[in-house]
Amino acid sequence: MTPDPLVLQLCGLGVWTPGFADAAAWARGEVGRSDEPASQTPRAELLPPMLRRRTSLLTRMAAEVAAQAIASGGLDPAIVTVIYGSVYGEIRTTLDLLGALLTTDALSPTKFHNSVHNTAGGYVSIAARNHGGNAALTAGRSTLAMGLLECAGLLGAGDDPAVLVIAEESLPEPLAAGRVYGPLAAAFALRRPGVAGPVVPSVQPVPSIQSIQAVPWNMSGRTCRLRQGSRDEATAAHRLPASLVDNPCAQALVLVDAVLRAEASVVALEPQLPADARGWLLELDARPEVST
Amino acid sequence: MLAARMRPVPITALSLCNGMGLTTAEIVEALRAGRSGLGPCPPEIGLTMAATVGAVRGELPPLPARFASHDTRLTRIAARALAELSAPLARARARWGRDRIAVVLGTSTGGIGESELAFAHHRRHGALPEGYSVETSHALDAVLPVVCGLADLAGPAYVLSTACSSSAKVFAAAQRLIHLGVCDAALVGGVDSLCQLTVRGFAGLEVLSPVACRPFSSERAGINIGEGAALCLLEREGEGATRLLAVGESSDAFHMTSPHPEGLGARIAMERALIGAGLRPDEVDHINAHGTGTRQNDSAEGAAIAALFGPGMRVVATKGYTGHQLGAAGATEVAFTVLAIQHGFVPASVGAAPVDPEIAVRVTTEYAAMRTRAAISNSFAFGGSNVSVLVGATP
Repeated sequence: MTPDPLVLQLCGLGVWTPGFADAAAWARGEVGRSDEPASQTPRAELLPPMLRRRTSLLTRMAAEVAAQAIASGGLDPAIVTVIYGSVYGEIRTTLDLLGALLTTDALSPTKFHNSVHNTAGGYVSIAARNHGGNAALTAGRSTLAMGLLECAGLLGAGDDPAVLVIAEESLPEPLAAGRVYGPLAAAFALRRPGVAGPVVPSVQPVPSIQSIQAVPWNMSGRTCRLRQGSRDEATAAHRLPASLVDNPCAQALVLVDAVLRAEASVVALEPQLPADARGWLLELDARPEVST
Repeated sequence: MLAARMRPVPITALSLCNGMGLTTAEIVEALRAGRSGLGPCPPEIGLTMAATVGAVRGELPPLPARFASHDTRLTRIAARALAELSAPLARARARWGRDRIAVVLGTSTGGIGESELAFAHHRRHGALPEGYSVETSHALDAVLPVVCGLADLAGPAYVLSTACSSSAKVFAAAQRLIHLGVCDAALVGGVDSLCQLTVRGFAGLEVLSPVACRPFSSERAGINIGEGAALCLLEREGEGATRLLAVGESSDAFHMTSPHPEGLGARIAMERALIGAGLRPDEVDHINAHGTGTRQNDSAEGAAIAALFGPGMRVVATKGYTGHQLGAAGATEVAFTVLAIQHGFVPASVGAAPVDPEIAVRVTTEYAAMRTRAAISNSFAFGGSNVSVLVGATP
């Protein structure tokens, strides 16, 4: 029997949002005991300082969660395909350029190349010496759903493993026109079902990766399945801080919450759709017992 | 990492709109005649510097009223290209169903041109102009509801944005989605519109040519920016003289804007395309180069092609016709490659003569009537993103 190509295996996770430096901190915060010092800048140690100092919060968040998902999945940063999803991308860098356009000054070449949607993909590929084909996408509030489909497509074509990074900065004024939400990022390391265990590194991993603590729970074998259905079928609860609810990528954190819980659940990936519309859902199996 | 072999996907229809003309027929004629679409920037673009560009010239009518909130230069160009595809799209909807046809588009600019005007308006008046919204005017994905709505398609829909390789990547994504089984067909392509940010951004990088660009020429002086749209209909099965065989993707992992000097990433992308299609280098008859007209790009790409295919490989650069359409360049040049196969010719690389002697491949400086079995279209981008799209004649 042909395996269902929309069944994926979640093997690694990354999270960053102000005050929550990783998935462990997010999980503790979720039960209301967060005593993490509020960190306002991601470490993004994957990026060497020379590269990192040129980057935006968006690129740092993306690099940070990508590294967390890669490390917790036991993957090699040089041979994963990373897909980046963001709605407004490098909007703050873009706004700086819009301001510069009103002067007669030459545009900063660094700001210009840092304004593209695949900025994080470029920096991370350079830092990780990754010659794979990363991509950056957007589908508005369906970005998470379409990012997962893009990853399913890669895995189905034998391009395995894949990491989906979702990152969204707050919108700056005046473009925001009153839309207020905080920045967030999450990453999901994905493999084909039945492919177990860490990837054997083909080259020496970037040293800074080794310093990133793996997420302290085993997610190998966490099976999930993409399918279409009504958002009313969702069982995953929404427990987002008020500051993040209106972030167009907030659903990525709802998915993180579902992954962090042991029980089976269904996550609506396109909750903005009307209840009678068919949207994409992700069904998560219960987390298997970890034998120690 | 090496992708599995996927079935070839017939390319059953295509449409173009760019500086060479408003219709595919005009553009094919210009390509045959070696007629460039480059010229001075029309005043409606609002450039604050003189530049040679590939601008869409002529009437771009407003979108139907139901898309008024999304009506931008970008979406009008997309709608113009889409208008030619109404018959093949109707046939594809009847065959597969509207929810079984995906839409995957590439753009690098989105509606940034609208944000330039809105930001300037805000500076003067302290408020954004009426009708501007970052969500429907600026966002890269704002083109999706327009294209999905006008084409009446309801399959998976997203925008890939990897700068100048954006609309080459869409072919890879669509082939995988069809292979995955989530759709039976896909409308793919790219659209970008001229704006201040890209023209002045490339001016800041000091790579703009003040005159029409001349890729691969010893007299080249940089790039021109262009705009336009290119759309292709891909179907699981169907009548098409040309098929998408495979797409190779890679990253240079070298520098944000400079290509690897020996074209390492370019070579990996072309190799992956060949492996994906199961073809040998000698089964490829010509290459539509990324060929921007910068010394760095042209020499790295020439070296990569020569290393993989040998110095006899026929190479055409078509940015002398269109300028560099950035997010629309990839799909435009794939469409040119498909047209070359369908019509049995390789266009002249307009402006390439005299070819730089350091370019170690056979750059086509004249129109050549010839049969092409398979050809590659290269697209490279900021971030070291490389894509090689391999298309072939249907046997």
